[in-house]
Amino acid sequence: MFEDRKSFSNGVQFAWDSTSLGMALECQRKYYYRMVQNIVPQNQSVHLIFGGIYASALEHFYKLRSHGADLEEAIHSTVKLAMIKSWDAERNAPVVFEDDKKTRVTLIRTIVWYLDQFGDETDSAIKTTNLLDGTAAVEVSFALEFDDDILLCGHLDRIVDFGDSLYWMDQKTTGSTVGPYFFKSYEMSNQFHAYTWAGQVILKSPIRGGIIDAAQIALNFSRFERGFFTSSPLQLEEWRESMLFVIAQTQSNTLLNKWPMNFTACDKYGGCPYRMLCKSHPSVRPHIVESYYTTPEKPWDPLVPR
Amino acid sequence: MSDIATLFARDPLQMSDEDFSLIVQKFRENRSSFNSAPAIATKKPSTPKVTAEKKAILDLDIGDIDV
Repeated sequence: MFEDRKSFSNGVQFAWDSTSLGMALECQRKYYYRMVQNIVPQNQSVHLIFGGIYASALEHFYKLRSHGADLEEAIHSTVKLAMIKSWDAERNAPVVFEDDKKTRVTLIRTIVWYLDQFGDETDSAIKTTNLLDGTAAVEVSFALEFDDDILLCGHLDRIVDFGDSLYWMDQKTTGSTVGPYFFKSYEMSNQFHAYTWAGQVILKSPIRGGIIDAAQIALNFSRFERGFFTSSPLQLEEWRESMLFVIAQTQSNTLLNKWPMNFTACDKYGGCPYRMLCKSHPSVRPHIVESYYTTPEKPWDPLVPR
Repeated sequence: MSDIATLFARDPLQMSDEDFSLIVQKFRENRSSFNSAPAIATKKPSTPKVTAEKKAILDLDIGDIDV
């Protein structure tokens, strides 16, 4: 089952990223379905499709800019990439976004509007920083020693200099209004703690936290707000200790093949994608998997760089 | 946005650089009109109460006035 996954050794995961950690934290059964069984719903969430294309498009933009591309040239190339990524070549038709606000048109509109607002950083206080080898800190994939025999892997879109401090940058999209409440919801983000911890190790320098550019996607407009995430060294250490505990617990569950459900997590983020499986009688679950789920060709593997 | 709809229905791998430029241009126009549009009032404008006396005056026909 695990031959094709580099992040597992003897059936136990040793290389972790914020996604797999998040699943283990949220619900051990969810972790089992996604990371161990490698099954996903046949219909991918519109939020994942939209957010995924948006993030990869902007990452493409900053990569081009760091390589010296002209602003207009980079914007056009980014729009082209997003148009291609949101086109279903098999069906020879646009990717279907089953949502009123998050559609292919609003995706491209949001990219153009965002880059027109924030793309030109000539006079901005934000500058892409350089890694220790002198290259621009964009598309930084990492696999770092988190503890004995445990790696923390991931991918930082960009690390920037802002006001004499270093920050990673991340993009988020939402259909809701972006305000203080939105950014507050990320104060205890596992993903953001992981980015901050990793950024410090990569740059051998105290990264203060992250800059989050949030895009509100409405029917007729897109609106952007910039927020910050910060974490002190003591808070980061508390996070690391907590994660090591969760990893040890998950590894132990893997060896015992015991996967408890967290009944308080089923309704989070619009509903768990495995809810349909968990609520059904165990005897019919194989049929449900066959009818509504699929096995991705490439399993989620934190050790495979993007 | 009909031009946009036509462009969005096409395979992007078959589109020219001009097509992508047109998309960027259309969305820029779209942003500019959105930003220059006056803010939409969310509060209903208050309508003054019409008293019976005022209503009688408003309902007057030209023929009612002795001129």
